[in-house]
Amino acid sequence: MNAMPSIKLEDITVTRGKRKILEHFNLDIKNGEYFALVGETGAGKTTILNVISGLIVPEKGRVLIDDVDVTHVAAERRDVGMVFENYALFPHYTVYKNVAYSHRVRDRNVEETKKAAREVLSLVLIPNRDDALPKELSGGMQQRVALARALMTDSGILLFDDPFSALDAGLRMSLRIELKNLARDLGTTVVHCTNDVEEAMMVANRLAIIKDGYIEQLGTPDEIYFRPKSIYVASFFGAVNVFKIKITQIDVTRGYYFGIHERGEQERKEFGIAIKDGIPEFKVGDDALLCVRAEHCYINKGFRKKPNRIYGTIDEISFLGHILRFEVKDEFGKRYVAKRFVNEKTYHLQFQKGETVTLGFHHKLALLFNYPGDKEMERLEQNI
Amino acid sequence: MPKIELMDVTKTFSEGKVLASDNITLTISDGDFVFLLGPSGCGKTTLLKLIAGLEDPSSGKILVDGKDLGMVNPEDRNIGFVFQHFQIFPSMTVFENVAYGMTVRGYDDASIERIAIEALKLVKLDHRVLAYPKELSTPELQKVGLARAIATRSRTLFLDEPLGKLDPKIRRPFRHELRRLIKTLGLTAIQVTHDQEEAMAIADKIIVMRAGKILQYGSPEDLYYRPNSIFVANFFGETNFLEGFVSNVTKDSCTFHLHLGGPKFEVKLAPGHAFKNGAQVMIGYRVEDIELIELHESMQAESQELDLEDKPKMNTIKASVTDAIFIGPSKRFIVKLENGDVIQAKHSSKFLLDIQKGEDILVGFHEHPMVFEYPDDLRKELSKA
Amino acid sequence: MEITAKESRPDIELSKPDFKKPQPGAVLKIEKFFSKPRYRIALDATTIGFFLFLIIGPLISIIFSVIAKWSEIYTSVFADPITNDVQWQIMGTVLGRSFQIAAIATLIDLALGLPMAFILTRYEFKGKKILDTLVDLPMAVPTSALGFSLYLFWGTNMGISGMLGLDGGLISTGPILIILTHVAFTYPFIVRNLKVIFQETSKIYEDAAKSLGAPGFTVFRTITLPLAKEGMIAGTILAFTRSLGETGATIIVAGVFETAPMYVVALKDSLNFPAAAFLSMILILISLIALMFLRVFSRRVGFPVSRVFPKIERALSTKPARISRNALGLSLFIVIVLVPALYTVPYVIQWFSINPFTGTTTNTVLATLFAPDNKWAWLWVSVVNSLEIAGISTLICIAFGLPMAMILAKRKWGKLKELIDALVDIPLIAPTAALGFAMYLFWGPLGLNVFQPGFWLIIMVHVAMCFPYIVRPIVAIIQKTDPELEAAARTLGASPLTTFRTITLPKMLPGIIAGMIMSFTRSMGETGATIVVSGLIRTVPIIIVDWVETSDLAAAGFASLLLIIFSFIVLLLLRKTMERT
Repeated sequence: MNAMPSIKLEDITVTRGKRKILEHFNLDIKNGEYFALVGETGAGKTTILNVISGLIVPEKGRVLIDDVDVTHVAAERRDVGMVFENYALFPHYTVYKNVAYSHRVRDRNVEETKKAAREVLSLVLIPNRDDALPKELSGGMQQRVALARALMTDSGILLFDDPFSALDAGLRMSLRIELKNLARDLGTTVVHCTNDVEEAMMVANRLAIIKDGYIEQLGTPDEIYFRPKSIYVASFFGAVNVFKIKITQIDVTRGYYFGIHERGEQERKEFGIAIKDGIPEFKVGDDALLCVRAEHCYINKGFRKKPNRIYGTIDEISFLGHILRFEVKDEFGKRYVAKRFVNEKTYHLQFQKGETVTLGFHHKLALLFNYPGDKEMERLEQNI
Repeated sequence: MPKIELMDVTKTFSEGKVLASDNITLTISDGDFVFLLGPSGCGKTTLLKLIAGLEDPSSGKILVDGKDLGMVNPEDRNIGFVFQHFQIFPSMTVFENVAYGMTVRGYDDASIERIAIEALKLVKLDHRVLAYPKELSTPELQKVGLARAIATRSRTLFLDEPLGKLDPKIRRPFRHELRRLIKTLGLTAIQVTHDQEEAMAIADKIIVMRAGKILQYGSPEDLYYRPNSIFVANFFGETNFLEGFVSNVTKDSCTFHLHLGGPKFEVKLAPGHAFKNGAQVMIGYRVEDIELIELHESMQAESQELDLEDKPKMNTIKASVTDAIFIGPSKRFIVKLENGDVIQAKHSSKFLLDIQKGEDILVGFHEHPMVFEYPDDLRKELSKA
Repeated sequence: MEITAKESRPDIELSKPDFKKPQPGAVLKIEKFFSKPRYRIALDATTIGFFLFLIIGPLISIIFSVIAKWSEIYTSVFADPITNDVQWQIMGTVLGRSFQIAAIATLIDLALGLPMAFILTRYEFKGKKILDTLVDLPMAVPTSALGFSLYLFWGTNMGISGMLGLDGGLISTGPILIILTHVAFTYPFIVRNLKVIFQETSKIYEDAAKSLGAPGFTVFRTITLPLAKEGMIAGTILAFTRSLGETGATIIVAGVFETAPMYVVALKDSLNFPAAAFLSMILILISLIALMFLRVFSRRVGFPVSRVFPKIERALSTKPARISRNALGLSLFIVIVLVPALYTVPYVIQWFSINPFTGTTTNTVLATLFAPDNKWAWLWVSVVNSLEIAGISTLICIAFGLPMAMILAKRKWGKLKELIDALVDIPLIAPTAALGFAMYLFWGPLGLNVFQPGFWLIIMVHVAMCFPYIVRPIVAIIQKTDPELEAAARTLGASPLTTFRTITLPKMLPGIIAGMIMSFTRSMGETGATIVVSGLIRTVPIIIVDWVETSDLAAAGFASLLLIIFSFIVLLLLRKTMERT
């Protein structure tokens, strides 16, 4: 088999009981690509992996590995290497027996198996624990054994189901980089599931945001971050500030939308947003959803009445190590979040709780989406 | 809140085989939002339960306002406790759950209804009053647990990893809401977590624990910028640790030699330090403190609004960029120093540093890193992970 | 270390309750009063005392009486002036038989039960629920009715031989019939036990193995079985000891071939109490040893998992192989277990008013029941007796079983609790006849002389038998319940008793109901021990045995049918309750 096969899911439907977990699901993963599936719990990521590995047979649709239809090929013949969320290391087998399992059930030559196992174990940096049982190993080591076991399969495909969730934060970070490099060196096609979009960005060439069995957006990390297709995708990266605005003017030459946010008689804010690829087209008079990431907002002392600025007081300052998070409340009680990078030198800033400040953003960094309706808008505003 | 004193408290499980709390002496009086933080198994949940009176110490004493805690039953203490798995009573509705604390204390029906609805309004669940737990989502269940604890009108709230079961996407905004709720009600709260980001984001003070002992206590900034050990330093944020030894030790500075040979730094030391010439040390730089300087021009990853009074002195070392990864709000660089050490730098992606993979650059190390002694036994312990 | 901060000023406060002080109602006050530790200790002491007296007492007494009367026993068993050690030899023989029968029956059960358990846990198909119920059915049939049914099916010309046109029974009474009987009645237990184990063995390991290329059979042998090992061994030992101690059905199908428990009954009937005591003690000791073995050694036994036989196992895993395997297991189940167990039903229907052979009314159900000796009246008396006894025993069991379950699930008494836990299981394992005899010795004329053989002695025996059936389900459900749920209630101000009433009890209810149903059923079907202590009282199982002995098969059949119908209804009730959990 090709060392780096492509994977294609065509029109897949999977139901469990009455619920449709996946419906008309399509996915195209290129040869040798490191692909990430990002979604919240229950979005369907594990199901997608199980369809690829053959542990779940879809009611409808086709599964193609390297353009070969394997939909009805049993899991034990697809030979796809999988690392499960809690590793699923066979508790009654030693490290060696776990790793060698896939070869032994195919009655491969014992000497060759030993050699391959040794290679793979040194690749994942566990050279001398052949006789240990899984329960004697730390979480990080168990994870590597699971990886080694998956690497012993032949298909050139690796599937990771949230492989780091059970580990401490520090270990998670270093293993991500190791994993990325390993996959690149081996040239395998990888599908990596996680609910942490930062993890996905670190390791993947392309990623897909999955919600309730559908792909919300698929693209490179760059695309997902700078040109999110929906507010759901945008808010995956952390706090966002949202406004309902009405488009008042379109400046085509310079490429701007102008809009205002009004609430009754008292509140009126003006905004100007640069027109970019991916933003839906609006007409004057349309309602739109303006969204700015917290990390794209800055804070200044005092007040300058210009577009793209909010005037308010600092309600809360949180220290997150390399980030300072400001919660600003405007005169109408609405809350906004701004985040800024700091290091030890810049940390000693002069902002205090209760200070009046201006929160602003650059017109090029704002995002515009179709207005989702009042009810949804209210829910978004609540969720800051 | 009453004054709680723990005196030399030790707690063991399984007939002495598991030491969950090791001779802890601690006093907590009217306080704010305090966090017990540590890796799993460090004893933080046990300590929480000891303070709340849900566990008895194996030895030592716990006094509440001077009275021995052992003499008082948990049900007589009027504490609010939010459990890790919510522990919502499955056979009761949301309302009945929230009202439970008042029901078993014998409050009158009118008061119960009024207070329960108020509590539910505070957590924004007043529209689900008659629902049963199995119909609710995980965040909603967590809110019911909160409302139930608040409805007891206790001035102290104990929380055992309340956010652990939530997806990261929901966990982040939720924790700020939690803090807001606690501050609005003016409660004293003690929360347990293993998530350092969570603790830093919303705690007033943090107690860092390990293997049943308290390692350090302070505000998030204290712990982040002035950790008292490699363990605490490593626990928060991300740190690049460089091994080496020191020479030219004066009362406030020294020269640090990177161990793999070659480069040296000028490093300032805190007054009252105990380092001697030739001592083996580990110095630490946070990933956001690493400066990346392009060889053809000097660019600094600073926020644009800030004026620095003086540019601090920098140690520079030649290096090459092994990888530059875009991660949304930030960009991460993996850099190999000329002596072979590999470090990481993380900067805001707003100023898209044009530093590419494969480029040769200068790395700037400022003069105030964290400096720790690094004797051989510590090295053995840390290499076990 | 000191943590202090400024006093926090709230922006909002929850409103205060109306009364200056809350006014707990009477119930809450009472519960708070009785929550004091000393009352809990009193309850614990009473429960343990009851348990010791009821169950442990007779066991100890039998050992003591054997020791006390050793010279008598020695004479009668080993050194009888006339027969020398014939008694001992007979005992040896019957013990050997019982062992062999138990071993063979258990092995057959495993072979038949494994595929069935696998089908029921790993496959989804229409009618799975029905199959599940059918597998449980033999459990619903009380042992004597079961014995009768099997005897009818295999051993008379009204059963399978009649259908085949043969004269006389296909398999006459004796060891083979006994084995078949034991296979039938332990089958549901083994399958249930295996089902639970397969369900608990995480499917994720099997998925991992499949993804690594292992065909179905290899997965089963290398992954599922080893991980299920402990539970399987436990189940096997239980089945073995049950077969060893089975009395009720065995009496019916054994004919003149005696097993150890039957011999105990025979010895007692012939008033050879010393010998009966001796044999009972041996049987009880064996089951105690088996119990210990269960608890201590089940971890150490290994499974051969190193060798892999890919070609054969792949062949065995193909669809046709799988289908034929399942079909075989299914058909054997139907032919050996299901049909024979329920054979009474068609029999009674067939023989209700007309004798199918002769066309007359001789030996029909109606005729035998309404014959001059008024069996009909006797039947209803025994039904009433059985119901009363079952009812009272169950109530007593609940009264002491509930606190006992709480003790086992919650108290942290260390080794002492482990001991009690093991002791509670004794009535499950010890041979019923031996246990019955021990209780007869303890309570009856030769012991404390509190109870004569009869109604109340039967009740004491049934309470002992049913005790584990009540305790186990409740313990299981408590253990599944999150203990922090109760901690939550207490932090909210509920005293331990209030917590029990409002939180724990509602959660336990399905377990309590299940336990009561199982206990009631067990009592209704209890035969072996009841025979020993019944005196002149008749319960339905005893009357079945009587009528088989007098060859009044039709009447026995009708009585069995009553029991079967009753148990079947109860079984359905049980499943409905379990589904609710």
